[in-house]
Amino acid sequence: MGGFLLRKAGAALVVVFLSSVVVFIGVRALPGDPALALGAENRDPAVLAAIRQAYGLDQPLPVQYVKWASRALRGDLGLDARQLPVGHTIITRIPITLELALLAVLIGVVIGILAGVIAAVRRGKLSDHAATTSALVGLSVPHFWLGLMMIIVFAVDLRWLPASGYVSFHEHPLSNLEHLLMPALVLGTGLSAVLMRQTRSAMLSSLTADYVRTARAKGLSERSVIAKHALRNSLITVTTVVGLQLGALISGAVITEQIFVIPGFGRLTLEAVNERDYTLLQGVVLVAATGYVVVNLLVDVVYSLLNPRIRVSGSNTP
Amino acid sequence: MSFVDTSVAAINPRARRRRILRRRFMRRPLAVAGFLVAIAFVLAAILAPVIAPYSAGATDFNALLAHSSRHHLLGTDELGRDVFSRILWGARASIEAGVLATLLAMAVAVPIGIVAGYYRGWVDAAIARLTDVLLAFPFLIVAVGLAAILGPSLTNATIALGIGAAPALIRIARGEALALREEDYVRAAVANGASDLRIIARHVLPNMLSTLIVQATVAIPAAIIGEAVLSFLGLGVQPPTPSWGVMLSDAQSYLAQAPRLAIYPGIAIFLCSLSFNLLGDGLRDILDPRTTR
Amino acid sequence: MSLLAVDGLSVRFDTDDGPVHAVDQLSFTLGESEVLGVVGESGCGKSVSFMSLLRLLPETATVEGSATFDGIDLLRASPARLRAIRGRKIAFVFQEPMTSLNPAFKIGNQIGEVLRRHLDLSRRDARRRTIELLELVRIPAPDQRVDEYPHQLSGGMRQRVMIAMAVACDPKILIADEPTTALDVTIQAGILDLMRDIRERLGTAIVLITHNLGVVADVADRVLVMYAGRKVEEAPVHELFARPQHPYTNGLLGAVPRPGAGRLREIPGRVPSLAELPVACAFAPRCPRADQLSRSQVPDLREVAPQHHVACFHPGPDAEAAA
Repeated sequence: MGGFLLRKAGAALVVVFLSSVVVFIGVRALPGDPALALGAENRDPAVLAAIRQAYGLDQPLPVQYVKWASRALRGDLGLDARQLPVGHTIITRIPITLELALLAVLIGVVIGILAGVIAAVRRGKLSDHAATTSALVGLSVPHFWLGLMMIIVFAVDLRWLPASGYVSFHEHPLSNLEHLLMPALVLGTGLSAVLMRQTRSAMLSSLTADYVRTARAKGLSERSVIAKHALRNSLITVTTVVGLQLGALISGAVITEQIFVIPGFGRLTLEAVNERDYTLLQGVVLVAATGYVVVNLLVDVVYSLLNPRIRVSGSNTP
Repeated sequence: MSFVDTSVAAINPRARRRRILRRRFMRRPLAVAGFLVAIAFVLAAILAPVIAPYSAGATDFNALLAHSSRHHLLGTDELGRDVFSRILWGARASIEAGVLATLLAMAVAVPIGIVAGYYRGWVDAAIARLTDVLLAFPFLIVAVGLAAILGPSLTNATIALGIGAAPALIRIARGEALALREEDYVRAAVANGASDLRIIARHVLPNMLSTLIVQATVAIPAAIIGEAVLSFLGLGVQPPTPSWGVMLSDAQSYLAQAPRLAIYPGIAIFLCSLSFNLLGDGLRDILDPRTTR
Repeated sequence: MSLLAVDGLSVRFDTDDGPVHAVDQLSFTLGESEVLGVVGESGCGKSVSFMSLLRLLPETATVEGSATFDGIDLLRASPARLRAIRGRKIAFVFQEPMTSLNPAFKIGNQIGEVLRRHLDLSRRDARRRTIELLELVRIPAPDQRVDEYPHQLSGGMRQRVMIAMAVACDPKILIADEPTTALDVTIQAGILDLMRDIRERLGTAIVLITHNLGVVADVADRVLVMYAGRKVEEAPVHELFARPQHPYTNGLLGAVPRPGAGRLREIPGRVPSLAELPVACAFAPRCPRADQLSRSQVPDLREVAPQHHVACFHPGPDAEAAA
């Protein structure tokens, strides 16, 4: 297992490095003069030169990159247009998105895997059709529109839940959940649809696998055939899918936070773009990419724990 | 002693396969329905100028935020524009973005994927690393970034959606090429001294076509929703050009007053992407040899 | 009285492209401690027949007929009752040792599972017994192997594990479906040897499903030959080898290397698809003896010698094989 994870970690480092280069170049490809933006549109050449010097914008790009990257490694992502430290801004916004994402993943995983298993086991029956159809609907429905519909129904008409905003957990735990329930459902729907389909197809193939036939031939109960023999192997495939869905989750968080006016990481991304705040955008995208890589590394750890072929390297493998 | 095998009738195998596929397809009512609805949306997009009762921008100040009526099938918006007509016109942006983004993604991904899977070695390793990097940027972040660099427009949104969809397709094309490379007929062609280009064109590409078609029918609805998202965020189609995403964005201010403004365009997006997804599922079922047993 | 009596067993699969008749009106018996060889080309319905007895086929299969074991009809027994028989009274060894073990669990866990399920052994007792079983099937260093995963074992070893799992609860019947097909020739002999040993030591009745008559000659008491879902010939092993009646059996024998038998022959043609029940002898298209009668009517089974049944209008040994 050590070898596998070391290899994965090495690849992850390379990806993070390349991502940082892409971010750095991408942000510099943005139209407009960053000095102009930083100087609050002050067009005095002397002021602009001073800003360029202060921000190191007069130096060659590779030098700028090395300076930026080495500071970023120490957690210093620079100052944004309002002279606030980018690192600090991101850190205050991340927990909000993380809470939202965790709730969404929880909803997605529980509903998705459960529905997937039931659908596969009861293949062709009513519950299978119901689950498959719901998954198809969940995949086809635009989530931000689902969010709008929920606001109309649960906030405007029924007045059960607040339409927007955010209250931190420390301030008021219940209110915190009330504010996050709809966004988490919106964000979790797509994930549960994807997971349901993956679980169903993985379960269908493992339910017809030879080892499941062996398990049945042993006289095991259907429950232990499904829950032990079939599900364990299906989860190996499903774990990798969760990792791949992370990108969709981050994308989803951006728009969900926009609709429900949640001051999280996703909204920060849009703010950075709309305000053309280069340092902020640079930091936000770098953190997003790094987060993606790190979570996928965690997924690989789970994967290797589930899959003995990776955990135990066979000494007698023919 | 002479033996005649009577069990195999002499039919052109391709025609036979086509017939079997068509029969399998017709047996899936949902896939057929998806196909018909998808066609209807494409036709609506093409024929919008002919069939839409009003032009996209025509305002009727006598009917602001009107309910549905004989004159305005789905009512009007805050500027008195006919919602039904705007949905028909909006189909243009959606279908255009969906189809073109998918074609772009295919054009980028398939050659790269085939090269990686067919040649393997360091080329493959480099491409794999590259797709990893691209995948590390969530599609919306890429799209947002591109819209910020290139400026918001339907074309740029389409490019962003196409690039966003490419990495996953590269992986799929690579996997297919990798597997096809090991097929006996490819090995035979290699042994017969066929050039790489010829093998790829004659054996690899045609045999991954069914997988690619299925992927395309799944990529189109994803791109359609993506276009709506970008337009909703103001990073795609710019008003007053009609687009389902723009309509939803406008409707946000009237959620309490006129929720229908948010309902109809959403249903259009939903039905459109659902129809493509149903079609894609049906195609996967009939083309994937693993599910035919 | 026989241990297992199967009567009129038919299996049909419903597929996207119409029904497939895999087994048609199969009847046979199995005695205590008897070794029954079931022979036929792949796709002739031999595996399907026996899987259908324990209802291990997918739901697309429709099974008719009856299979009486221990006073109950396996095909109609309640699922709970059937589960009490599976792995306890009737055990299976499957063809594919590479895929028939669950890759996610240690082999000790997988063998122990049967013991805990049927014999109510504690975890520790199950482990001890598992090691004994691994020893019985001649796996070296069983106390280490017990904690290994399937991917760490070779194909032959895995098949031994499957056999250990099958005999764990000392079943009445062991159904071995092509147990040696996926293995090297040198390993095959060892596995067959082991099956013989198990019959002698445990008195287990064995059904040996194979496409290889040579394997049957070594181990079986009685042989049942199947073609296109039907039984075409059945006889004690020596009788069958001495006086094969069905042209198909003759063909199979021609394909077995035997000293002094001259050139190996193959049966021309291929097994017909089973989309429709035949209205003629299914072997007729490949049969040198076929005539108008064979092509217009299905031959019934008839007894040509004591315990020797054949379904053919023109039975008898091949001229050249008999010479």
